[in-house]
Amino acid sequence: MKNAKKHFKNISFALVIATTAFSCQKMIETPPPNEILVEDAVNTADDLQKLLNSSYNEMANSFGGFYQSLAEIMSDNLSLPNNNDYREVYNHNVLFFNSTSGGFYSLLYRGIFRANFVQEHISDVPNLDPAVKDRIVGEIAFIRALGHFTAVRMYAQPYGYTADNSHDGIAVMTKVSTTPQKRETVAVAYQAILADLNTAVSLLPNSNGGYATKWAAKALLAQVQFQMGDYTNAAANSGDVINSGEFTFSDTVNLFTPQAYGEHIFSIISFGVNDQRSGGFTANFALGVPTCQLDKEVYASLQDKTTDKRLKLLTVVNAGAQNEFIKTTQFDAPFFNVPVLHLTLMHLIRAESLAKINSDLSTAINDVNKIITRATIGTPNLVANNATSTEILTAVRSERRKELLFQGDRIHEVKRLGAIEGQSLFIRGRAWNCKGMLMQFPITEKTDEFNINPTGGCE
Amino acid sequence: MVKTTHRLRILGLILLGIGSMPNGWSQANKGKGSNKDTAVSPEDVESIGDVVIVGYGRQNRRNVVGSISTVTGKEIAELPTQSFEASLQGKAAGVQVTVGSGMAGSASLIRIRGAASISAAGDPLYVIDGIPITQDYFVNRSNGSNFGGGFNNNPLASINPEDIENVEILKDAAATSIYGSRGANGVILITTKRAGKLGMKFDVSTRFGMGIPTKRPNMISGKDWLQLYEEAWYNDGNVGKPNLDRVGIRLNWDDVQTTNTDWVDELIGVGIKQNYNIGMSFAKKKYAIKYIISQDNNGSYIKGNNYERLSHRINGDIRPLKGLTIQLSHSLSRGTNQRVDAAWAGGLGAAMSSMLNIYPLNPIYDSASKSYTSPLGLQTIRDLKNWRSVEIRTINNALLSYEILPGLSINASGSIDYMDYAEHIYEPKALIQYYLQTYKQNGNAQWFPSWTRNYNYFVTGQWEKNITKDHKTTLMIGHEYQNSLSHSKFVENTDATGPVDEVAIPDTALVSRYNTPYNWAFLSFFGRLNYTFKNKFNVQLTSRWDGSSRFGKNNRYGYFPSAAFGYILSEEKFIKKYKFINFMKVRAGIGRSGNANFDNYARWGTVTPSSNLPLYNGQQQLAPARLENPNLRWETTTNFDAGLEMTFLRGRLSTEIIYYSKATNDVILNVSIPTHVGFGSFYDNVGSITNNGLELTLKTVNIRTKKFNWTSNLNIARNVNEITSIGVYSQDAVSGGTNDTRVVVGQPVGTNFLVRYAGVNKETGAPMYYDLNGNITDKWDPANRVTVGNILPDAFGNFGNTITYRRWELNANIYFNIGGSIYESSLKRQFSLMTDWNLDPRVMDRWQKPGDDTKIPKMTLQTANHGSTTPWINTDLWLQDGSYARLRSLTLAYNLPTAMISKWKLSNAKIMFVATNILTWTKFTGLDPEIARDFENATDRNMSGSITYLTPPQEKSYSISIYVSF
Repeated sequence: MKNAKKHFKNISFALVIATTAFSCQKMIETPPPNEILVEDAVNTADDLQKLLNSSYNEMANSFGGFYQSLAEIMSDNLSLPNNNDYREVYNHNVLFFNSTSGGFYSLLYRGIFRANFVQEHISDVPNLDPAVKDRIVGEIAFIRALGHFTAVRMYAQPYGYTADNSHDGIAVMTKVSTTPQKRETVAVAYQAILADLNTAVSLLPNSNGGYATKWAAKALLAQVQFQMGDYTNAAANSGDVINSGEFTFSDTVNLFTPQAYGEHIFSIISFGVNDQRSGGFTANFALGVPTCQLDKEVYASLQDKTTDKRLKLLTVVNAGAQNEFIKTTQFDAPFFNVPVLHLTLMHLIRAESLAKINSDLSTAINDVNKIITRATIGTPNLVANNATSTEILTAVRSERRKELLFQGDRIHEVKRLGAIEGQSLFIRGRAWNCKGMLMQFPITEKTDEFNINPTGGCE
Repeated sequence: MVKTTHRLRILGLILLGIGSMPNGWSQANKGKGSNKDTAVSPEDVESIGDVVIVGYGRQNRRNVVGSISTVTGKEIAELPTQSFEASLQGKAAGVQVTVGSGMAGSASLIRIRGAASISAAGDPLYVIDGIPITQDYFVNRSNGSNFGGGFNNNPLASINPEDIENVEILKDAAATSIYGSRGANGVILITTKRAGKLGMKFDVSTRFGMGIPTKRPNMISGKDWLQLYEEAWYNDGNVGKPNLDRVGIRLNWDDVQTTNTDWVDELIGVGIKQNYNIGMSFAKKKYAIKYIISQDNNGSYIKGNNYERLSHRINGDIRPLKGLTIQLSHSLSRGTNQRVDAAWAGGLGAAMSSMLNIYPLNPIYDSASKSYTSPLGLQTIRDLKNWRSVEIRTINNALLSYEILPGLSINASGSIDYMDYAEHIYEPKALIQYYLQTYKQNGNAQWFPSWTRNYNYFVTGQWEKNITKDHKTTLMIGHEYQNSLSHSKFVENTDATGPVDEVAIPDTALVSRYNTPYNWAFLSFFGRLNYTFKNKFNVQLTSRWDGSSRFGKNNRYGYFPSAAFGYILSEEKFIKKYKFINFMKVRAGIGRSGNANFDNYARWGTVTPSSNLPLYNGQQQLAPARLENPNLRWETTTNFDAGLEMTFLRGRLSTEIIYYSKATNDVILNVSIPTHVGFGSFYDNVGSITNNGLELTLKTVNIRTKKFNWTSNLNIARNVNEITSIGVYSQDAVSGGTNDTRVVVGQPVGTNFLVRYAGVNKETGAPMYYDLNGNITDKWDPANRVTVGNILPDAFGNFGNTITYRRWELNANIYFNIGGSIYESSLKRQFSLMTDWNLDPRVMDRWQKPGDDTKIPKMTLQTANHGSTTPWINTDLWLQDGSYARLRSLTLAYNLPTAMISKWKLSNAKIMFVATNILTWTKFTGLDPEIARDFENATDRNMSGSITYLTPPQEKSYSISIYVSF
């Protein structure tokens, strides 16, 4: 009896332990509240679209004035900014601790990561309509190409800096990965960008409710090819976009207004003051004493200030006083859609490309005259019908600087002319290819397989 | 009964402050209970000196095979420190205790045998009466309250030192492996007091003291500042009268020439300390009660800064049946910290930085611009800002022990630790109006409540079996579960007439939101087998399996074994023949333990719901929030420890020498993974760290006579810490927040990584730097950063002496820290680059004219003159040797003669004078060489020891205590 009692005690003791043990598995599952587990979140095409929106969101944060400010400050368009991080960009000596440079870089790659994240979860959605799938895959490719193209232009020496483009480029992220990647060459980066854009062109629809379309992909492709000096393809692709009939050439010179939205091939969309994605322009170009002011020498060198509608958007504040500055009124609206790719850009690319390859010059002349006519008050000083390719080039490049002023184009134009055409160009006395003439990676990029850009500026 | 009434009356009289006793009481209370009349609580079965508390049990000290140091509650409670853990400083070899600062309630930084973690918290596990307690140093950062105002929360401050019977510090694997995935950084076991001898006893004590800073922060005068400004002005090639506008100061040059407000004087005073304790023990054969009630008021030398702790504890023991013991423990405390801004957040920190002596005590109002042209006085901000943090905490435990059969027993324990911490900030309209420079009807109130409930239970079964007389075994197996859930809230009322929680709130101006709650759990199984042969040879094996909510799905359970032996050689004939050796034991152990103190949710893959994100293109978003990390797991430390304990000459000399080697793998790094990966930071098990060290403890009885005794003790430890791997990541992948410390392979955790300063160009006065190749350059380029300095001391320890003469007892402890550098991070803004900051007096030695030989460059207002594109640059100019020794404590006690106190019916009475930190020997030219600044997060806390940034100095204090027992 005593023995039985002892056994009973031992058995019940063991049972208590065992039951507690096996019923407890759930007790160490404590998922984060206020967040949704990935497996519960991605089930429908609509979920994929929402995820994709978060990727567009990062592109919107990059292109709502941030990219344009940095690229303009790096170029010779603006005067010394009042913010220390931007000053380093202006002085072409960006430290790897520069949080503005690092922040911009991070936005681009977060956008790319989120696009890749969608790509990884497409297969989670059962019975996905193939057309929807094609569209999503196309948008992913477009966003990735836009991100990589911006990164490679801002953080690496330009295409053509070395003959075979074997110089350091960027990391190319085509899938979700937690492991650091190596720094690819510029050649590899451009191959990846072209591949993505070709995918996007083939999969995207003609119109897509504010998101990327076939024409957006083609326009970006033209811009990429133009940067590469592939003028034949740049001319063909920009021509396709112009001839698509989807876009209308605006009457107004300020493309950042609703009247010009017909020109927008791909834009960052603002829905109202509370949902505006143009804040980067507002903060850096419009409010108070802006960070981004036009360089006074550039202003002085501009001709036709009274007859050029684009130059009339410039205003001299505190004229004659010590605190005089020149700002643009282009971005004064409280919110607006920001065109990343627009019809004017296509005309400029086509005109210059055709002139470069000396083909179909009449189209090139038409393109540039269309722009001159729109910009001029009174009688426009048009390019003659029998102008040579050199004359056309001179005209189109002059128009390009005025048309795309404050849109972040100038620095890449200088680099393209230096790298592809061999011109000896300088930005505030520093050569287009000096070692500080680019943004610096955040120091955390540095690994055995990823060298950051040289330090010490252009000296 | 008579005795009890009598004691209660004495207590009443003491409380009333009446010193003399009515005569009629003298016949009561003849003898006390003899030592044999012990109550039921197991603490008294063996005297505390022989028994060591180990995880889930107790062992005879002779048989202990692990490395465990014991500190008694008395040693802790005697010192008037900011928090009990500060009193552990110098008490045990290899336990590095750095007191945070002189601020009230300041948290200490404790590292046991070096830092073995980087991003996971490196603090030891604190266990009070069986429950690992809530230990969040960053609660006032995660709840959104302005990062805590330059002060970290101290989760230990509300623990009453008077409650503590003793503290065991578990250091090696043999001792800590039983705590599995949480034991790697050591375990601090706190046992609270229980009733002892049969009968009733009261212990009453009080203390009164004062505190001042160990060194007063001295800044240059207004006149000197103006002179240096003028010098910088002309050095830069400016002409004419200097214009303060250049550094954003709106005051007129001529108007400030005579102003010299000493802001430090306005903020520093004498901190008043008061402490009252009443302890009561009441024990019968079948039950016993210990009751302690205490109040402690610890004012710091910063005016307006005070920590008040009010606490009580009831520990009851019941023995209803033979073999069955029930222990119930309950404590409730409230810690109220009257807060002031400090360090970078303002207050004394501002007096050392942005608050120039040329600013008048009260700001100047300019009616033309309708604004103030000088800042609001620091004393006004302090007086107007109503800021306090209140922690209410209760720790409760029930332990049931039942001996089923002789030798076979079970223990079941359940505990709950509930902490309610809230910060209340109210800034009245006078303050807000100044900030906004416009009229405001009401003030601004913020309230940051947070609450954590943390419970655990464990069940253990123990079987003791003496196989033969010589072979004894004890087997213990157990199971434990712990779960903690924290909530916090952010509440702000921008139109408040008083603190948020005290005044009716108009809804319009109120913002209230919950922060993400934190929940974690551990599920564990463990066992321990002890074998003793002839009471001289001991072997111990332990095992623990831990499952945790934090571990990824591929690593749900970790296994942590240990094996150790101890051999009492002095039991053997070949040692016994040496008569001068009284005791000799060798022991060695090896085992594994872990650290699982990292982000609660890092393993999960989640997305942020649309409701928390803006629209894009008028459409909803879903954004990836966390990437699933199925492989995330604990850090694993393999720990080898070998020790030799010896006692010679009948106790005249005893010594313990320990060698240990710890190898930590799978170190968790919260890596700022390369940005191109696309998401901010990521927890990864990638690093390896080693800690190797020696610990020496020496105790001597120098003089032992009937009336005069002199004993000395010395402990000294050397730890070599080295990071052996950080995977593919670069030094900058993990950074100690804003402090320029880095993780570099081959260097200790948190090494200084700085551009080397090459002195001043004698001709131009410009600073010079070294590039990576050691060539001198005039350009500061962060690409030239290298590891410099020595973040960890070469050795640290304590030398203590106790002298007793008749009824007098004198005790002095000197704590020392040899080697180890200090980085004064704020100096980059307090030196030759002239801004709107006040300057350190050391700048007076700057370069002034060609030929001057000095380390301090010429004054300038332009960053470019220092060869930099960015104004605040880190160089090793601000790094210096931080070795020090300090008279940590000096106590002089007098025990009143028995003849005298027996008249008053007292069993014991003692008067004690205590002084802390009164002397410091150091070559360090900054404020105080003992530094643990406010940290940003766990990584920073591991990496940025010995960095100072406007950190308030330590406190020196003088106090008098009176202890009475009856």
